[in-house]
Amino acid sequence: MIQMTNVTKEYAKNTAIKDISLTVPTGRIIGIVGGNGSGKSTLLKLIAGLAQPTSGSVTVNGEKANRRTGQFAAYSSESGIYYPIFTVREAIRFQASQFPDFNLAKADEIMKLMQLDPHMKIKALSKGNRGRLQIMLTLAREAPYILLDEPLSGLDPMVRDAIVKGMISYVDLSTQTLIMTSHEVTEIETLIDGFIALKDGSLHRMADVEELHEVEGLRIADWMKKTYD
Amino acid sequence: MRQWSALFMKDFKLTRVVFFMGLVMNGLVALLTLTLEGAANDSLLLFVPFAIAAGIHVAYVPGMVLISLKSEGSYMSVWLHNPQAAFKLLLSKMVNGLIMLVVSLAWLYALARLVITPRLSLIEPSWTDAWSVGWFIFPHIIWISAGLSVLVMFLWALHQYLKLRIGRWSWAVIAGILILSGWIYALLTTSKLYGFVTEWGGMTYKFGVILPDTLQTYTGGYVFDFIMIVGLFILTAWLVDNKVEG
Repeated sequence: MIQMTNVTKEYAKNTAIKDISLTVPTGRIIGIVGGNGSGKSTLLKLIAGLAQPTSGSVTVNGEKANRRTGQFAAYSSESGIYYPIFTVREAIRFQASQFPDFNLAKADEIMKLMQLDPHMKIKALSKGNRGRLQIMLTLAREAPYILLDEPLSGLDPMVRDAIVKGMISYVDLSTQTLIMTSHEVTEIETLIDGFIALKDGSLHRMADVEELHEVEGLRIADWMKKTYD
Repeated sequence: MRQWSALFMKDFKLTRVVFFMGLVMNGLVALLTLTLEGAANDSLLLFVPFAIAAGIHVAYVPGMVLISLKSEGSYMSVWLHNPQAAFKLLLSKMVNGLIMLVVSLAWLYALARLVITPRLSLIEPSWTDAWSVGWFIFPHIIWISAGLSVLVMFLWALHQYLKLRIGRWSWAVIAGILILSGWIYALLTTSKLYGFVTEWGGMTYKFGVILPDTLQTYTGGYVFDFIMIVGLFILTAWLVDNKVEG
């Protein structure tokens, strides 16, 4: 279970996260939504242990989140960056050497689904293919938490489709929890079970998608339009 | 071990271009030596480009480590998102730099032999002394280079930590810390206490005409430096594990 208690994250000139407390249940797909600069990526980095709270605490499976949280959480950054010195195949081998939960057979399957050439140098990949590579390297891990930062951002519809298929096919919700940030609220709405809405770094709402649909008769995008203005 | 060796290979790939460029530059030093030999009559000049090239190697490991860390800066979240302890991540870069340094020095030594041996008659009186100096200096270059590389790693980690908190002032703080620590180190090593703690296990070296003065080193001095290097390395690893963000 992921637990955040009174978490605030400040950078040099701004406060990215303001006093957020929440508990993320396991075995679900959670979307973190909000406008630009609302703190979505920071929240995900805090969970991944790649950022430390200025105050408050973040725990993953009862342990304080830090860099080594990578053992339990597979994280994919927004930028889609990876070592350009590697080919796709070498990147898979490197990732497999670092993470004991990396499933090589699964990586091969996802690679085929995403139509990635294993012999291609990463520096020669298009932005879309780098995005696919990141998703492949992340989903091939059998970690309890899969954290994806803007997996669909800036990608063409075909790539988005491949990534969404990958998320549906290769995340096992009986053992894994998927948390992703996204601007593409409409696109992820059918995928996610619950959402965390952020506004100016504060927790605006955390709810089930179904509850929003049934009780308020609204889709997330409509609810956001209504409450964010 | 497989985990670390994969990391080591990745770090080698990150800096291999610079490594091979360094080997080519050693070759250019050998060419320069041959040119100098033709231009001047002084046979001792044969040693000068090689001595300078060897001296520059003090900056080799810190330079390689910095290049490697700067590359990682572009993939910070990928580098940090790794289950291995920070000391292993850092050690991989340092060992890479040290192996490259040893290879580069060995290559320089081989080139020097190749260039100088056929001309042995020109420099026969200085020959034995020059190689003795070499055997004294090479391990010290490696030692100093290793120590400086740990300092570079520490300052880099500190900069990564500070830049998210104080922005561009981070560089000023780093420069301040560098000057201050240099001053404190100089003050410490000239103090009576330092002499009392380190001046044991003395060793003297004489190198004839090349270096007329007798050189003295102390085992205590090496032990002191070793403790400082290990301490700074542990602090750096702690910073990367707990304070550097991706």
